[in-house]
Formats: sequence, C-alpha cells, structure tokens
Amino acid sequence: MDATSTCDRREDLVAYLYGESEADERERLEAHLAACESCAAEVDALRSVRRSLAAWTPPEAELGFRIVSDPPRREAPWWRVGLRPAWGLAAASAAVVAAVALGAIDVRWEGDGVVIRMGRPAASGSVGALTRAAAPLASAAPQTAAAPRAMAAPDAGDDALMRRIRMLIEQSERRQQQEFATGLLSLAQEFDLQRREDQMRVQQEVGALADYLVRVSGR
Amino acid sequence: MPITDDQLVALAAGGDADAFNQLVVRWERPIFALAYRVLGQEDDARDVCQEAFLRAFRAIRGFRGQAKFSSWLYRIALNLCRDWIRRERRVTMVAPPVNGDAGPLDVLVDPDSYAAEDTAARRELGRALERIMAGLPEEQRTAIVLKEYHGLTFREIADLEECPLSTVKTRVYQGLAALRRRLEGAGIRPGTALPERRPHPFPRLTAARESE
Repeated sequence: MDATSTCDRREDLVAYLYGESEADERERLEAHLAACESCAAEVDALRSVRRSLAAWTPPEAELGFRIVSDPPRREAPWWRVGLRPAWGLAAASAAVVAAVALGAIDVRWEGDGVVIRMGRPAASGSVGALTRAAAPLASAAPQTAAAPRAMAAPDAGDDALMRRIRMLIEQSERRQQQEFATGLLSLAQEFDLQRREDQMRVQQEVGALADYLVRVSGR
Repeated sequence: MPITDDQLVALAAGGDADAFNQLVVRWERPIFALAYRVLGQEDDARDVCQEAFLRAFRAIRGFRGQAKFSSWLYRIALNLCRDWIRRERRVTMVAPPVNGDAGPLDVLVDPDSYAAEDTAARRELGRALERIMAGLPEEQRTAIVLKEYHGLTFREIADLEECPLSTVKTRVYQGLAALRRRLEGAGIRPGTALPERRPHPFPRLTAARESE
C-alpha cells in the first residue's frame, strides 16, 4: 500500500508535508511529484490523514493546579512546609517518635519524598542504603554484606561461643530493624499519598476562601 | 510588552511562587494535552501534568536557561509519561493489531456525513483516532503529537528526544502511514471533506524563542 516504496523519499515527503523543506529541496520534490504519480498520491493521502487528526481533541479537564508553597527547595523542615491536616501530623509524629526511639533509623523529609536512612552512623561502611519512599527497601543487602566483615574482627580474647552469641544477637537486631523499616516505609508511603491529597484539598479550599474574601472586600 | 517565560523563570527561581504560577497558567493546557494524547487517559494525564509542574518548580533554581523553559517542561512531562507507560502499561489496554492493519473498529464513520461538519461524526472520528493512536508505537505517537498538535519543528523534536533528525521524520512518516492504513481498515476514508485544520492553539516553542 505504501506507494513510495520504490522512490524512498519518505523523509523528503514528510518534510514537504509539514512545510519544512528548504527552498531548493521543495522545488526538486515538486518536480518529482509532478512526474511520479505514486509519490503524489502518497502526499495527498498523508495530507488527508493530517486533516483527520484535527478531530482528536483532549477532554476539557479541570486543571487549575497552583503552587502555594514557600520558595523552591529551601531546606525547610518538612513539618513546616505548607498546611498540614491532623491525620498527617499524627502519622508524622508517630514516625518520628518511632525513628528516634530506635536510634538507628533516620527519617527525614527531603522535598520530594520521605527519606529513610538505616544503620548505625558510627559503623562506617555499613551505613545502609538510602531508601526513598518511591523505592522499596533495598537497604537489607548492604547491611547483610557488611556483617561478615564486622564479625571477622572480633575483640581479642573472645571465645568462640561468645562470638557466636554476639553474632546471633546482632543478626536478630538487624532483622528487627529491617522489619521495622519495612513497616515504617509503608507507613511513610501511605502518609505521603495522604499528604498530597490533603494538601491539594487544603489548597483548593484556601483558594476558594481567598476568592470569597476578594469578592467580599470588593463590595 | 508581555513578560517572557525567561523573566518569569528568573522570578520563580528567586522564590516567587506567583511568577511560577503564571508559567503554570501559560503551559498547563499544552502539557495536559501532550500527556493526554501520549497516555490516552485523562486522570493519568492530569497527574503527569501536575507532577511535571511540581518537578519543574522544585528544580527551577537549577534550570539555568540552557534550553527554553517550555522545552525543558516538555522534556520533564515526556519523561514522566514514559515512566508512567513503563509502570502502568495502561496505554496498551487498547491492544494494537499485530500485523499493523486493523480489523474494522466498532465505530464506522460515514465519510459523507462530515461534509456537513456533523459534530457527532467528528466525535466518532476523534474516538476512532484515539484508539488507533493508542495502538501506535509510543515513539511514533509522541512524534506525531508533538508535530501535529504542538507545532514543534522536526529539529525541536529531535532535540527534545535526543535523537537524529532523520529518526524523527521517519517516525512521523511511519506513524502517519500506519494511521492511514488503520483508518482505511476501519472503513474511514481519512480526511474526506473535513474542514481545513485550525492552527494549533498552543504557543509555539519557536515563537517564544523569536520574541526574545
């Protein structure tokens, strides 16, 4: 069906179709179209397709999306950015309290998501992965990998049993930490979703209120 | 003289949210339309549109005017669309025919009826196009959308997609040729007696560039 297959001028034809040929190219192509029926028919057909495309319109969507925050990327503490409904605060404080209680997990708001950092800050090399709300917990692997190294340098004088016990305790702690972090992460994701929803709603309401105030004060 | 995008960008980078909102007002329709036509879903398009502006707002201070603001925004939106498609695979809900030639769609449009600018027939045609476009490979669909509805030059599309000029032309050509086959396969003679296209309603990237 592609009549141009013998001429192989697709790029030229399409440039011509959209009026983007250079003047000399256009002249050459028009001369060709006058002589080559199949290319002329192809251009006509593609032109018709273009006319049809006018019938495809996007729906009339309610957009009205506006930014109502402080200056961009000012490293504000996350609890001070924007208005926050009660549910968000409750979830947030729960997360903070939990993180502080555990000590080893650091939860922060970094502009575009909840950031959870795992691991003991003192133990360099096994700090754990940085986990964002968007990315599921990838932090388990580095910690587990670091474990044998930590175990390979025991205090002098420890006997084998003590070493074994300590290792078991550490493994258990790590597992608990990871489980806790997983739970915390899903809470954070939930919180983030809810936060965005709430924020949009609050913004809309504030906008409506502002409109109303303007109208009232205008009288 | 109206304030330019670049001036608004400078103000927004200095922390002026209102200036940024003026950019939103200017560009939210085109960005929504772009996302809608690429994704084929209104809700997803709205989400992508909002997310694109949020990302642009967060990154505005890092945007040093290497490109036009609008080009930058288009790129953010297109990247988001692609992430969306990869994640959700929603677009493929309309399964494209494997051999490239559609069987008859359930919408059959009588070509003679749009001579009278029958709005119902036009709407039918629009829906048929929407389904056929959804069945095109994403690169072809995006190239046609940028060219046809946003009035970008082939060069601008190539810059945006970071691909050779000839690739863009080929994509547009192949997309149009496939559209033609599928429209005909659906019993629609493409473009018959449709009124001439209106000029696309969005500000042109090039127009903005020339005005400076």
